[in-house]
Amino acid sequence: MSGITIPVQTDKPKLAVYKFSSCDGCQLTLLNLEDELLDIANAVEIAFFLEARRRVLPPPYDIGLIEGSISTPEEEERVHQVRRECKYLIAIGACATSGGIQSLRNWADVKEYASLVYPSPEYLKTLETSTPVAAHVFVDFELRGCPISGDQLLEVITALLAGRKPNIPSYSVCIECKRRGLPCVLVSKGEPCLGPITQAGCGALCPSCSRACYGCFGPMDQPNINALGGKLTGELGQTNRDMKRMLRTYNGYLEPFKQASDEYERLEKQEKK
Amino acid sequence: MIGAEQGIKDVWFLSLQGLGHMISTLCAKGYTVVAPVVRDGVITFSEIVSVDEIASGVRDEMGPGKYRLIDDPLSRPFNYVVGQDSPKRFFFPPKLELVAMHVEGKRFVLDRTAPKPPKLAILGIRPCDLAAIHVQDRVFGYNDEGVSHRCEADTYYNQARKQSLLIAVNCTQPSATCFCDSMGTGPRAKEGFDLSMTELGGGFILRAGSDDGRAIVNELPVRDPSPSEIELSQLKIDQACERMGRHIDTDGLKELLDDQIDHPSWDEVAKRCMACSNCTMVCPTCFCSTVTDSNDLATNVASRTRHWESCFTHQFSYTTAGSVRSSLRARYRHWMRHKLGTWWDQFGSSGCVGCGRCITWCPVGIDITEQAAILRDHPDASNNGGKRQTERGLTV
Amino acid sequence: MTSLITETRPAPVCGLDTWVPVAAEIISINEENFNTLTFKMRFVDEIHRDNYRFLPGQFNMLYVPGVGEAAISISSDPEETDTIDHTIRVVGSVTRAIQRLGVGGVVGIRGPFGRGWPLEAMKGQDVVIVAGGIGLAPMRPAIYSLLRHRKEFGRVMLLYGCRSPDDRVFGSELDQWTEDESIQVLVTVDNATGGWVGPVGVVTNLLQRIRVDAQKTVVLVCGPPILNRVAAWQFLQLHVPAQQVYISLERNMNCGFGRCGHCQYGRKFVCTDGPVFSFDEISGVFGRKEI
Repeated sequence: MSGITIPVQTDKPKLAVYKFSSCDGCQLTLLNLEDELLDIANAVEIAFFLEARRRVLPPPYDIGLIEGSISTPEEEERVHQVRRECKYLIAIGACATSGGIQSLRNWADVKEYASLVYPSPEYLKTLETSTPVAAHVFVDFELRGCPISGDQLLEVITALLAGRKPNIPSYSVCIECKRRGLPCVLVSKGEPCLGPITQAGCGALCPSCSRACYGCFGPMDQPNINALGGKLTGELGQTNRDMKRMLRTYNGYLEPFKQASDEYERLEKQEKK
Repeated sequence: MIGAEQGIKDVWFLSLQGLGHMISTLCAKGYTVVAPVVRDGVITFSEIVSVDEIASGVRDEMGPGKYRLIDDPLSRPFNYVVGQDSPKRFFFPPKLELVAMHVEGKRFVLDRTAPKPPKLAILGIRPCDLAAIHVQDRVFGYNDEGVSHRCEADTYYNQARKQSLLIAVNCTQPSATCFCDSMGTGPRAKEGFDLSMTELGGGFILRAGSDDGRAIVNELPVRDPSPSEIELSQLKIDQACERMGRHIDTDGLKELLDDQIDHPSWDEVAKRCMACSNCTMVCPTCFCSTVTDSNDLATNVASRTRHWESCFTHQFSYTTAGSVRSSLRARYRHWMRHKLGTWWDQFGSSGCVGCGRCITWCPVGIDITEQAAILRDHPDASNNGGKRQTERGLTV
Repeated sequence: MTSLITETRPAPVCGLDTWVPVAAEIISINEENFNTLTFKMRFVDEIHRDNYRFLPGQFNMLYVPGVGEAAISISSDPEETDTIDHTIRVVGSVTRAIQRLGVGGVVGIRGPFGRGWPLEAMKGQDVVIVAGGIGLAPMRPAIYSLLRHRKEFGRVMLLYGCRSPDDRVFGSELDQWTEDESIQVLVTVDNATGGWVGPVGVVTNLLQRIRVDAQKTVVLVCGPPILNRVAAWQFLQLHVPAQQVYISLERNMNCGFGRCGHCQYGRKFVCTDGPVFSFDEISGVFGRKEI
């Protein structure tokens, strides 16, 4: 015997994980799937995942997970390269699907921001806006959330390998919340909960801690933001500014949250006059 | 009642302390006891082992889109109406793995089957919820000989129902969103219970509706009720009828809903409806579900899981040609027509029992009774009694 | 042979529970057109092969383990139940998965579900079958029954429309039926490619080419919604009674036995009350949007 031979597994689908402007939380979700990580590693070849392993296998890759928004000229270039490398590209997390919290700059002057934060902003190369991956290249699937749900990530990978449609709901958080039998924080406590307009997927995490949903999974399929806004600004005493701020968090730049938040901004300005 | 005709006693008085005996008796008989408890400021059904866990000393205040639990100086149990959850989830679980299997050669080998339901005693069921259980009995084919064309009856539901004991509590304090008297389901539980209770100051008037119920009473420290206690209990229920917060005129309602299919008010509701599906989730009769298929990455075991679904979601009516009901207008209309109208055709009863949950737990307080009243009071005359011209000039 | 033309629905086959499909093997695949395939399947266990019966117009829930289920109408001869045909347009994840399985692959079957074509009510009547595209699939068992018991019916006419000559499904059978004196077959296409010399245009135009004896005609329609609507209304205009115009509808069946709510159509569950409805049963909602 001449030592250990490492079996060469070339027939397994190759997985790549890319990072753009983001906090790494969504990539970590993959690593945090402790019970299933070995199963994933058995089912796919982790070919490119800088946060997890040093070894890099050359493209093409079968599945690409892309985290982060496009916020620099370099990223704008690189995302096209990523698209070319991957057969199936999945944008994961609020940054990659909506532009993320950094897309708040889209409503502001980036130069002004930079001069406040950095001593020598002239070294910065940044775009005026932070935008989702799908604004630049075709994306095969989007997983929402800040961060994404580990279960949903596992579901997408499993479904993809099995050749079926992933069971990722597009309905409201309320459905998950009520299935769990959690008391409604909006109705029973008067909390300004975004659950009725937010896409499910988190398992109603915040309501399970008696907290209002703050919409980190972004808008559900056909949300009626106006109707919820009526309730929140009326009976529950939220201001137009509050509404704007609630909508402009992790998914603020994603339609229709963007459109609604712009409308609340307009109303806020109108009030001031 | 059969028992009364045969001279068998079936009315008793159970003291407040006797309630504890009831729970220990049920536990001793192997029942999993479920009763209303307070959870995060809301009355909800939960498994209990002692009488102290039952919500008492609280009262509920409800309105459209609003629910508050407040302290009640009378520290009695059952001095509230219905909370967010109904007993529905105990017979029709929100998530149920139906089967898990794998392919071996040319055969399916079962790895797991649906779990066996516990033997449940549900205590504190309001008459509306009791009626709702019987509505769902018809949906899931419980005790129904005529289900052949609907395949077999639902296995889990039937097992759970068959071994369950239903203990109703009559309503003496209806809320602002209650309308059970309009739907003929309350405030008195008329039938379909094993035991029913009416709360008085120091205890309960107890009635048995089945042999199983009588068997429980035999082990309880009960006494004969005085005529005045019986009279008082009747009076309290009669008074409850007069304090209903909401009302629906059900006369010809089914036909009205058929006729008013193009009424402009559906558009008005659609402006407020968020399709969040809360109404359908809290409804004690809503039965929509979706079975999703998935597989395990490591073992490739395929599982089939049933979840509560809602006709309010966009994906619910999805076909290869797109969603059938893509507008909120159509989805609300479908739900309301089903509850109050087409349910009669499908299952021979109303799909609404008047519990008022859909009004209370709608975040924006959309009121089914209000919508029914609009259709009745301001019918759209151009509707031509549900008739219409087709694009080829045919009246159908 | 006893006539299988009966209104009594055969009991569905299913496993331990109504939700557990029964294994069946794909024994052959026939390519109908560029995306439509006919899969011949046979139950793995003999007991199911022996017990399985269906009525023309009924459907099965086809299952691919771990992928999902799809409601697919049965397209084979109801009196030959050793094997069952399903003619499938490959458009969704389940149908793609069935295609991937290929010959020798194992799928699951629950069914048959629903109410089929009213063969009993058709006896002694003229029958006009109107089908568009893959809508011919649920008609094929009915045509087999009609031809097998030909004497029990009046004139039988098949009006079939599809996009182009190459898009015809059951092409060889259509040719065979065209030769058959006992059934009048008219086929029209939207695009006359490849030397097509037959009629061009929508299928309802073929109505002009047949004689309809309104009172003694039963009409069976299955196609895309627009075809169903126009065909139904045209026959009503010809004074065919509403209870003699039958339409097979498509919805997203999930359970198959009226318990999941998905396929509701007004007061009806398409899976148990349908998929075949007479016009008078659904006249209140037929053709209305978003019912």
